[in-house]
Parts: sequence; C-alpha cells; structure tokens
Amino acid sequence: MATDLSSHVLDPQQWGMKAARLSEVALLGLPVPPGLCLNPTDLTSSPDEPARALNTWIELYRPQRVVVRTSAGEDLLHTAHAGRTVSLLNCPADPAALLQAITHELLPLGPEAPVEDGSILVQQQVEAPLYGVAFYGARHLSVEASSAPDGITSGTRPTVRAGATDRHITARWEQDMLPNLALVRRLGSLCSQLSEHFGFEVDVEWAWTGATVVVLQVRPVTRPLAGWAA
Amino acid sequence: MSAQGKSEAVATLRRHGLLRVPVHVFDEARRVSAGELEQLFGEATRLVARGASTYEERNLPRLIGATPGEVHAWARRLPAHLSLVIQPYEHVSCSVELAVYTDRTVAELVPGIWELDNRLTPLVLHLYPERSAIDAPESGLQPARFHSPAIGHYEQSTRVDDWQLATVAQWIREHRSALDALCQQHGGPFGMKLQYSSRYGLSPQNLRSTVPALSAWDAPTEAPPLNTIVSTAVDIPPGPLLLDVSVAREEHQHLSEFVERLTRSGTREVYLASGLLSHLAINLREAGLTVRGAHG
Repeated sequence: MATDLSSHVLDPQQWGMKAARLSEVALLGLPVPPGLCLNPTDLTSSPDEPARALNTWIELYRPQRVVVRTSAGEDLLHTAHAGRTVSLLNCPADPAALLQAITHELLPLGPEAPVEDGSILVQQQVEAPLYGVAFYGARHLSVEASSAPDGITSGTRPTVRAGATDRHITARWEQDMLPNLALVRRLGSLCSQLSEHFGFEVDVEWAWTGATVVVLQVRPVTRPLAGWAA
Repeated sequence: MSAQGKSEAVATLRRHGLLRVPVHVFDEARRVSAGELEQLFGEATRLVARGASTYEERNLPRLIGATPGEVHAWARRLPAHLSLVIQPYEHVSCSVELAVYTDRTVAELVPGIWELDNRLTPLVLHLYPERSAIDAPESGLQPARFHSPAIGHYEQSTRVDDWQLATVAQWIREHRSALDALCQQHGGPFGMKLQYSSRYGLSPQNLRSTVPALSAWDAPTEAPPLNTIVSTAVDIPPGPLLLDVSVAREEHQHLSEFVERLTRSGTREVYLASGLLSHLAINLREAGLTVRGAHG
C-alpha cells in the first residue's frame, strides 16, 4: 500500500505522525515537497507493488534528489524524538537504488525502529540557499538557519538567527551573508497559521527558496525556549 | 573633518571616491547662471539645488526638480553668504543615515525622502566585520513621502525592502576602506546621509560631524515609564519622554522652537520613534539631551 502525501489527510496511526502532519500542511495550501508514503510491511513481504509505486512517483515528479525518512510515532505533544529516526539525504532518484537503501538502512532497525505502524516517506529534496528551524508560540518567532539541508537540525552553528513578534524583528547574519527580512516575515505568518491549525506551539523545519518557505516537518514545541522570557 | 558645510563635505566625499552623482559646487549662489547650468547638466535636465554654508548649518534653502532657468532665478534671491551645491534631480526611493564607528557601522533606513517626514520608524542595520544585525519595526507599511517633478511631494504606504537593505549592506562593505579613512581623518566616528536613486544607486549627500554614542544603540529594550508627546505644540510634561512627533523639513522653525522648549522645561532624556540619526535626534543631541531609540 502506498499513498501520495498531498492527496488527503493521512491517518497518523497508519502512516505515522510526520507524514500525517505534512499531509495536513499540504492540504492547507502551504508548500510541501511532493512525497510518497510506503507501507513497511509491504516493502518486506510484497515489494513489487511498492517498487512500481515508487517508479511511477519518480516519473511523475522527476525529483533531482530524494530524501527518505521514517514516519511513525514520533513528534508527539510532549516527546519529539527529534533526530532519533533515520533520514537519508541526497539519494539519487533511482527506484532500485532507493528500495535497496530503504531495505538496508531503514527497515532492519530493530525494536526501536518506529516504522512498524507508520511508513517510509520518500520526498523530493528541496534545493535551497537556506534551511532551518523555526519555533513559534505566544506570538513569538525564533529562527535559526544554515546553508546545509541538515545544518541546524544536526547542531552546526547557525549562520542566521532571528527573533520576531508581530511588532518587531531582530536578526543577525554571520560572515558575509547579506541581510534580508522576507524569510523572517514569511516564516512568521506561516508558523502562526500552522500553530493555529494544529492548536499547539510549532517547531517547523523548513527550506527557503528565495520565493517561498517550503515546510519539511512540523512537530509540537515540547519545551519552551529559555530566550522567550527575555 | 570638523563641523563642515555641504560644499566641503562634497569635496571630502569626492576625494575619497564616494561621490557618485555629478555634483557641482558654486561658491557664490547668486552668481550661478542658467547658461552655465545648461552647459554642465544639459538644457532639459531637472536639478536639485541646495544652499550651502561654510559651517554645518541645517535646514538651508533648497530647490527640487527645477530647470536651469528656475535655479538661476531662485539662486539670485538667496542670502549673499550662501554657496550652492547642484546635482541632477533623481527620484529618491530610500534614505539612509550612517553612523560610522571604528568596528561598526550603523545604518538607519527609511523609505522615501527622510527630510520630508521624520515620523517614520527606521529599520536599523548594524554591520560588523564578521556579521550583520537588524533591528526592524514590524508595523507593516509606513506612510513614506516622495517627490516627483510632475506632482511634487506625495505620500505612499511602503517599507524598506530586502533589496534596498542588501544594497546598503553591500555599499558599506565595498566602501569600508574609504569609510575607515574618513573616520581616521575626522578623528573619530562620523555620520553620512545617503539617498538611493535608480540611476546612481546609493549616493552620499552630506557628512555629519556628530553621531550618537555607541552605547545609545545598545540601550536597554525596557524603557522607564514615559510620557508620550505626539505634537510639537503640546505642553512638555516632566521626566523622560517618548517623542512620536513629525517635523517635516519645511517646518524647521517648529523643530527649533520645540527643542528649545524641551531644554527650557528641563527634559534630559527622550526616546524617539523616528530613529537615532533623524534630524530631530541630531538637534536634540546637540541641545544636550540623551537620545535613545524606541520601538513598539
């Protein structure tokens, strides 16, 4: 069984929390990279159909590069499990190679692997000059960004930091980056919309193309940022 | 560089390779002829003529968008001691005031022509050798004032865009060595007024001999309880004040009277919505008041 990420609101029990939230974001009309959810049981018991689905999906969207991630019981209200599941970046858009990578690197992860009740999410990798994470809550936005797709999530030093309320923006850029505010403003309105929709303070992973913010993942903020009280 | 007039400022800017607009200085305003201007700028060229003095005098007369003949007629009526700085008229889309320090340059940006209305809250850009930072109001569009030869002054809701912001940052970086040389020549921090036009890009217009103390930019964000002044005509209450007033350049006499009333009433500290480098801020500092920025 396979499903397109943006066709309908996905059931988190069946497809995992990550995919379910992204399907909601896509149906809100916000930019989400095209994605295909594959059932992990099918991948091991009857791989022909997932292979065909993957082949059709690649023919349809023709991604340059692909990200493969697990989507299961992470990103809960009080427990994010952020970064504790597998993500494979920079995968070639080759169905056979992708299936092999999924089979070897995502499926045999043992009892902690969260894919048993969820899905394997294959998504177009967004090519962008900036990637990052934004926290939004109590009308306050905090942003960290880097030029590497996993720069902020993996803990490298941000090249951009920003904080914003609906009345004021402060931001700083490292090295010779030229400052701009469009990203912060777009993130502010996008995160506010997501927070209102989901009903919790949001932690959003995103990519900035220069024209738009693409949503890569949405989860609840499980602990407040210390800086927000300042 | 001590306190200096516009013509000396133009010479200094030219010497440091910072002048982009073709500017001509005439020592005696009254002796400028239409024929001379036509020869220098072309017969059909609209001009901006600014009165200049031998010292850093503010709010001197100026004529915007005039023909060489109109400049000639206007200049003949100017006071005898004034000289004249003349440049081609260009539509100004953005105004910038720089404060140049040794390891930091601070730029305040507003859309439109700043002198026409200093009520706008500027976007503040801090440029350090290895990073930059922004402090920006997020109040949506602001009523900025512009000028066109066809309709004169007009107002439009807008804000400083990212491209203008990047242009200012890039300009400061590209001219770092010239700014450092000016800083050294001046013997300390100095200020510079710039305007952006599509033909000449970011062009320095004047130099300021004084700028806020560096600590003024890093003032605590929490202000003490403040009385707010929204008009230059109201009574001055005691204590620190939040000034949210507009004094257009054409109303400079109100500005002088207002500053004088503030000092007479014993005001020592003010918070400005209009930025630390605005004309109002410059005048208040020169009157001995502590001037801090205000946001929100």
